[in-house]
Amino acid sequence: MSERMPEFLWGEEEFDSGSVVAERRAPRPQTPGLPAETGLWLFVLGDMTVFGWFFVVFMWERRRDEGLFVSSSSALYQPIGVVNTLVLLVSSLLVVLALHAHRVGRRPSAVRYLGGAGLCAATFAGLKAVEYTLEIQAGHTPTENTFFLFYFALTGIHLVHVLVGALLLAGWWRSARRENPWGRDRLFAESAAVYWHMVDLLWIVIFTLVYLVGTE
Amino acid sequence: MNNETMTFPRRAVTVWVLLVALTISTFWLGTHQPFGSTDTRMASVLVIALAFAKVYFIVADFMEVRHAPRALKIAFGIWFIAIGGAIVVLNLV
Repeated sequence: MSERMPEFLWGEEEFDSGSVVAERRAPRPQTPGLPAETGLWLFVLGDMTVFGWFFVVFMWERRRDEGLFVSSSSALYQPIGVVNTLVLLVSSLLVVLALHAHRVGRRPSAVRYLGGAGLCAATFAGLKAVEYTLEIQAGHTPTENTFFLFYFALTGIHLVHVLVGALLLAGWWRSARRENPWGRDRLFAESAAVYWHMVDLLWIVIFTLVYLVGTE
Repeated sequence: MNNETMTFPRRAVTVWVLLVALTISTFWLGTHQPFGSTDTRMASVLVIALAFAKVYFIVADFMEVRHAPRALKIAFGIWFIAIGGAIVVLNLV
């Protein structure tokens, strides 16, 4: 039942912005739908590939100097990291619920869920600020060693993604408050949702590799 | 129940519960080392594998790639195998 939902919802929608009227009218009952649009997916895959290379280089460097990486990662605050992982997971669920509510026309619910996701984003950024302050006070800076260079670079670039994602969620929140037809909001809402889930999954890998793997 | 009146996306919520359970168990595995200090590598591989399992579910069920056209599934599959594989191999050898 829920398996069929996206097909049901997207099957007859146009894939692009709808400039080709003939294509929009053509029914495509058998074609699986594509949430958001092709450009967004290319961007997401590109971004994930850049992060992916970063992860591989991190593991390569880790292999060359395991002792340094193990002792340095033990100086991180794992409890803050795991709380932030859970905060992003909660935000991802709220985004899933918001998209569902928006699709079926329950805009007030979508607005509430998005508000909650925004709060999660703020919590994540706040905890990150606390973490950076604690690390810097303890004398850990990007210039200390390779591990801390990676730590600040990976989490910093990720934090920028959190902020961009929060702005997208805010834009979606604003559009959900208006009485636009779903067809008009769809592209932005689905793009913001996909981007936000990417922010969540990248953090899961960063948390695992930087905070968890082989700590003492 | 009709899709349009469905009050919540059931599968996604089930997946979310699984993700939270996996997060807590990965954290426990990573910080408690149940395999003893002699086999931290084993624990590392398990922790990495569980993280990529979570990534898989987020892509498939939250990003809805499970229902997307084949090309997108293949693109994510390549990312998953290349990056996940490289990380596991670098951690093992």
